[in-house]
Amino acid sequence: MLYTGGMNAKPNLPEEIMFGPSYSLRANLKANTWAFVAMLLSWAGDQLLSLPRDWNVAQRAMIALVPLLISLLWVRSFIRWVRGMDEMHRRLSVEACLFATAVTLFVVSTWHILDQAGVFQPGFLPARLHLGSHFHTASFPISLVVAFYFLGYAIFSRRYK
Amino acid sequence: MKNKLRELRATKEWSQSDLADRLGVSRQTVNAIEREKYDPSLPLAFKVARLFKMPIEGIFEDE
Repeated sequence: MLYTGGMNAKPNLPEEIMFGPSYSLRANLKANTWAFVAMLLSWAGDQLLSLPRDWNVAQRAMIALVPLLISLLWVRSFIRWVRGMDEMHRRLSVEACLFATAVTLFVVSTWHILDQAGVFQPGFLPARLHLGSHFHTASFPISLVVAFYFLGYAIFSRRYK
Repeated sequence: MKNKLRELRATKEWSQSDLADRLGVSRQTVNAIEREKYDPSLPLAFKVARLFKMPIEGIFEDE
């Protein structure tokens, strides 16, 4: 991948958003502010929808989808942040993103298949792993992607040390 | 890919951070190039060549 960014600017570093000695709150906010806003709105939406009010379908859809629309803004800011990295870290980040997406798809698919096969029904493994449980909220695959991004970055960055 | 970046940097008495600032990359990237763990892109190789006023093939050597 060619380096085309501004060469005199201080490049962004992935370590700045990972908890450790290089962590920077400023960098984290630069990359992830919209993700925090989406999480906050998601929580607020859950609270609203749980109120004993007669929301119509359009209102319910709007409340439920606002965090997803906000998360598109997060994707944009994250891409901009990755573009602000130097070429080696950009390559590492893209590899880590691909790893995280692929492994998350694999884990979620496997989980779904096992659940369909009745493995997580009462009497077998813990029933709380069932698809209807809290393990299968929207934040579950998102958390997996973030965790596997960090794992992938740790694995791939060893190649260049 | 072999390179003479470490020797060239030493002649200028620059630290890896100094060189990284001049190239607009991170110190880790300079370290990875010097240790021949990472091959720079063509634009970055040109930038290195211009900085040391040498041809690219005088700095980087294909194995």
